[in-house]
Amino acid sequence: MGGSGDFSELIRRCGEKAYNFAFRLSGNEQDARDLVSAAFVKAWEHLGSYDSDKPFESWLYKILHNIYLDEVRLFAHSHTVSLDAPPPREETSWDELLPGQDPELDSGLLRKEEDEMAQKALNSLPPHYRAAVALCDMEGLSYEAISEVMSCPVGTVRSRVHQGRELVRRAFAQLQKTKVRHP
Amino acid sequence: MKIHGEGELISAYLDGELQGEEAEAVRSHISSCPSCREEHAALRAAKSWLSRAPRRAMPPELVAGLEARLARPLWREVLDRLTPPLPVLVPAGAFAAAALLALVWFGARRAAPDQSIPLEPLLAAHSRYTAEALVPPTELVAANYSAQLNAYYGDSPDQE
Repeated sequence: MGGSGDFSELIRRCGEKAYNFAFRLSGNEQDARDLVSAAFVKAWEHLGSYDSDKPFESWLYKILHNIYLDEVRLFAHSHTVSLDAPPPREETSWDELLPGQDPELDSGLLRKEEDEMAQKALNSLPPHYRAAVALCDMEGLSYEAISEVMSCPVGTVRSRVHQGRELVRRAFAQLQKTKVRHP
Repeated sequence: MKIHGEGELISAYLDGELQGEEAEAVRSHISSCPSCREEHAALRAAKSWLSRAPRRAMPPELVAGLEARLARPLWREVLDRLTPPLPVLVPAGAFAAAALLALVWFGARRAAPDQSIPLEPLLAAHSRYTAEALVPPTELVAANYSAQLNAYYGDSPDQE
């Protein structure tokens, strides 16, 4: 890993995965762009500390995740945000989260709608759960790889993946109920 | 190993994170326990729902911007880091210009012709006069002195 051509290749090879992870964490395109840019710049600046025995993607995910947490903490400084606390369990929170559906959707719109719903469900998760679920179910990383990215033990990853998935499941169930209520 | 009600174990089984006897124990329990089978199915649906979400392509202008910014030769990066920013360059440039002016000024002063009268020829002439002619005629002393001065300065304008 040395020349400028190598890094250009890394941007092309890992950019798409980093961008998707950033989008799932931030929930919008502009923040995803900012996160990816900041992550690549930081990776470039600290290329000397990269352990080439490990996948570059995992290292990039880790940098990106740390930048994201810094941003969340910055936000939390002026708002009440917990990285781990689960959201309220009352159904009303999910009602607000999952609005009614249009029954006349074609498959493209349905896909777009599902994507939006998945993102809304993720947005409702506390940051640590959101990252764990996105890395496991959307990026396909193993618990071991996620523990590297999130700098926590594998047992913690297992707990966060499960709790996050439970919350997503509740959102999914609420979506089905809303569909029945507003056919 | 307690499996019933242990959602984390079922999630880990679903993710292929259990091996050997542990995986087999969970599989066996799920097949015989309706509530855990239901839990497994629900978690699998949630996982499937998330994994089906469409992936986004990285915006081309973002790729181009990153490449333009980062995919540069290493020497260029090092040079940029070594070059101080503009607020440092301006006073440094002013100082360098002042130093250059001072050097030129002192150099010009050193190179100018010396306007002082050389004392050595006069003293030498005086010594020679004193040693060789103890009682010289006045006109000879004057003539010798003038000749020596003329020999040293050539046609001196100071002929009073």
